[in-house]
Amino acid sequence: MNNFKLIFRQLWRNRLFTLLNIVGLSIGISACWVIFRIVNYEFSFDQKQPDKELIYKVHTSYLENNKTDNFDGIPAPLPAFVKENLSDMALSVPIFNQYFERVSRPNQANNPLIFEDQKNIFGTTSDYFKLADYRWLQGNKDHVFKQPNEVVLTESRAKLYFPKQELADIMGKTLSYDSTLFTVTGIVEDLTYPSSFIGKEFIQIPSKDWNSTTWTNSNSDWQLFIKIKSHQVITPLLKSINAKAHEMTHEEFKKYGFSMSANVIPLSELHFTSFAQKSTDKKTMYGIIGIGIFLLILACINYINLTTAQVPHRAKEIGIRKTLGESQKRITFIFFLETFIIAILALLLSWPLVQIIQTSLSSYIPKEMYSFADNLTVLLFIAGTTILITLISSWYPALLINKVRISEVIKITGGSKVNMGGLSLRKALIVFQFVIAQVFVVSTFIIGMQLKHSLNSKLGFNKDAIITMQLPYKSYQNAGTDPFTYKHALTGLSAIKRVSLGHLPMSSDHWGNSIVAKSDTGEIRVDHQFKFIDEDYFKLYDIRILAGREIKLADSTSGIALNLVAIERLGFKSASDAIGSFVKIDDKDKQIVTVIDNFHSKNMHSKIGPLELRPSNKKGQLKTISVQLPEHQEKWSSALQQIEKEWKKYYPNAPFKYEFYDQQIKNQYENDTKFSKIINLSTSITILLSCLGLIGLVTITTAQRTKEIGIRKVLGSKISGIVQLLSKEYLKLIFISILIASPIAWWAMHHWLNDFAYKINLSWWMFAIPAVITLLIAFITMSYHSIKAARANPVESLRDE
Amino acid sequence: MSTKNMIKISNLQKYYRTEEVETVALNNLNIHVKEGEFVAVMGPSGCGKSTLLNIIGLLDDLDEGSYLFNDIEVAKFKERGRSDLRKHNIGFVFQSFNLIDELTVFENVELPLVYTNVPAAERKRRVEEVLEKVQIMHRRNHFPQQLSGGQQQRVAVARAVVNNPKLILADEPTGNLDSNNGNEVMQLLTELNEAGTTIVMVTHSEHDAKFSDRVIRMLDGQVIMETSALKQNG
Repeated sequence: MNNFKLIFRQLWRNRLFTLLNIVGLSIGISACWVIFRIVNYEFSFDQKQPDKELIYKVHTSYLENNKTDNFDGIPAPLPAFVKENLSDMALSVPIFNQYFERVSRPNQANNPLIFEDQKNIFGTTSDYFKLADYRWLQGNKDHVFKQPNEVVLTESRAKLYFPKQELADIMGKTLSYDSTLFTVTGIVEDLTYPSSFIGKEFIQIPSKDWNSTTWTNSNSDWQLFIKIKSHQVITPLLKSINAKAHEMTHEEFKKYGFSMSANVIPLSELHFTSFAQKSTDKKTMYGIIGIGIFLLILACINYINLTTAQVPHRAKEIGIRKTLGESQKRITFIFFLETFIIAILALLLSWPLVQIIQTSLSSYIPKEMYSFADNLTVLLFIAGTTILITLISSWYPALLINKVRISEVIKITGGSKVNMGGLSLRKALIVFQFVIAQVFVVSTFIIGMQLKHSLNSKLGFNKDAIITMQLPYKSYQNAGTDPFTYKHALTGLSAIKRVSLGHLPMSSDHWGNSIVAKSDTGEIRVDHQFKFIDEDYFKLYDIRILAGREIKLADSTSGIALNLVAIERLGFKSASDAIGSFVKIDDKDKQIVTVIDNFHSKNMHSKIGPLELRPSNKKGQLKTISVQLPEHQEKWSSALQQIEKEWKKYYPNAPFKYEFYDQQIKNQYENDTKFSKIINLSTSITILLSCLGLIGLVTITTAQRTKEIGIRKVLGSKISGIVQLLSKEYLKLIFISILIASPIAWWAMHHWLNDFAYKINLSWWMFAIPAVITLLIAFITMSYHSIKAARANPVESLRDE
Repeated sequence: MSTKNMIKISNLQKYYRTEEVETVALNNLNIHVKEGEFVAVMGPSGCGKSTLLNIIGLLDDLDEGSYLFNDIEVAKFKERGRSDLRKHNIGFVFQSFNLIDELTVFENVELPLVYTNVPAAERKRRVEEVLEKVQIMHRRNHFPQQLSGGQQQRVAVARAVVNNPKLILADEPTGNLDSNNGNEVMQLLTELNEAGTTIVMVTHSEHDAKFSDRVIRMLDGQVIMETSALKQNG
């Protein structure tokens, strides 16, 4: 007898259950699949790097008021110091990020290939290639950087800059980095594994950096890797570096009350070091592993629920088989085989699901992951998961089916009278599923409310019908043009209401400093942010002036505007009291000429802090232009055309790009929106799985109660009465789930909301509405089966008695 | 009929327990069945006849007493031993046929041979032979729900005998059949008995009981009377 044939007949006969099982498991499998790919990628960083245990990254730590602040950057002279004084202990490899506006091929007048803002161009020394493990396709690591202006390319960049050319032919060709020409003297294969060495083009470290003597300035663009000779040298090496750092920085830093030292992170831990650039949070990784395990467990619970629901229907078949001499072992085996086949079918369905998940959550998935696809490991994982799912999901139904008492089932034509026991376990599983689902439903609801609150709260300025543009910063794009020239050109257009230059009111663009005001007891120092603006700023953004007059460009030497928070912190009694007073900023006297009402200069996560608006007429300080469009939307398109026309006049080499300011403000909540998207997805998945489980449980109990329902109907019960009878028990379970889930959801949401300075207050109805929604969903899920059972002809159910 | 006992049950006690009450299903019951004998067990509903049949078929445990099957004590057999004994020695025929809905007529009948590891070619030969015998060969590829009750019971009989068991246990084999079909099934059982198979049959029907050699009458879990039947042959 062909077991497979029999199993497929069985699965086909119970098509609905088979489908529910496959869908349920495939959700768990696909979630695990995606999560494993991400986790596997993140955890494989630098693991294939040869001698990884000997490689360290040097960073700086700043000690202030007994608080250490780590910074992933170094002072520029450090690499040369290590190379010149400590080379017996370690190989010193600087990686200094280089920025070029454009990389191009010279003398290609007919077909110019220009690449703007290319990333991962590093200035380093030839020692870099002794550390990072590249396969040289052209050139040789022992012969690089012997001449000035050499560049080593990775294969991907070589092919990008010199399409359709043999690698050998690219050697010796020149590339123009802004205005400097570099000769290609080596081509290396791109690394085939995830690595912290992300460079794509390498040039010699600029001599001004290598020969720098400024120890007091660290920069995150300057990085230093060392490869030590043995682990014993770490302590003396750091001691020597810190002695030098102390010597060079102590005097200067003492003035500000802090000190600097150097420390190292082992390469193997670099990717998970919180303050390191491009690092990944290990806790987040463990979090998503947890989610994966959770979804898998939910999927298995679901399978167990649905399968045990079918046990009574299959009990007769099992009983007959046992009567005819089939062994328990064989019955168990067939059950495992059946689960395995379902798991395999679920796996097949997971493939398209994985593609959907990867597309819809693309912003969460590191793009580089796809370039380092570790298919074998993923395949092994998927195979392992499928087997694990089979074992977890089938043990309980197999156990149950083996418990079937032959003498009970062989007398019965249907399965309705079989006492399956274990119903309490399945009820517990349903409660468990709905607790999870309810936590997510409440979270979705509250997160949605908070996002709405964040977006619709009064910000204290006008954000509607305003477009903003970044003025060009590249020299070839006429960055040197005075922004006021373009502004005046726009002001002259009749279609435009107002134009202003300066940092946007709510954005991360601002500077920081401190204001000092005299007080009765001495001085009050207030750390604050300031934004550069022009004289039309207040009108355009409709910022309310509480006291004083509108700011003018003539104030740029000494007049400032402060918000109410700043005035209060500085100890002024009122807004009008502050007007005309002098405060010190950078040791210079500034007069408060305007006091403005508070507005949100950051998103709702942050409290409104002290803010200064400082008039400016310097082009370097005014890089953003805001334009207020006419009130009537139908006039916008012609206004935009005119703005573009003017742009082309003044910035012909720069692309015309604008953004609506209200949309930019929405983008401030991108992380929250992303988070809400994940929660929404999780809610859908958990609700779906829970409902699948519920269908299973309802099916089994209605089957068990067929006779009771028949008798009740014969005795005159209405359909609604039967539906109520069948639903009541489950709604009770779901109600219990809601009771358990509510405090958990409250705790989680309270925690999440704590991250917002301006937030909604949690209230009972935020839990009650989701509860009603869940109960409704559950009721609708159940009603198909209960109504079907209630409408069944009692003659049918009572006939076999 | 041989004089050797195939089944010898002594002092059999069987209880059914629920949370609150313990019901005695079989009380100090003693029976024997000789090799080649055709025994009918009769009695009102709930008297314990089906329980007795389940115990004889090793489908249910006995709580106290002894059960010798071909002189071997099987009362304490574990599930595996019971399963082995069952598949090699006992065939079952039920009132409700108990065919597996997912299997065709051929596959249903083939099942006992699968469990006794009979090679495929041999299985085919034996299944076809027995299907011919019960005149259902033309329906070999149909599923049970496509057959009439009488046809289903003939398949069930075929399945019970395909392994040439020494003993056939029949639990009201004609209970769900009309008289014509019922007679056909009884005829089949009689033929099997004449060929040497021992048969124990639970029945309500005095008519069916007449096909047996001996009638055991039960009441309240005890044997109250044993009579030799006036055997009729169709």
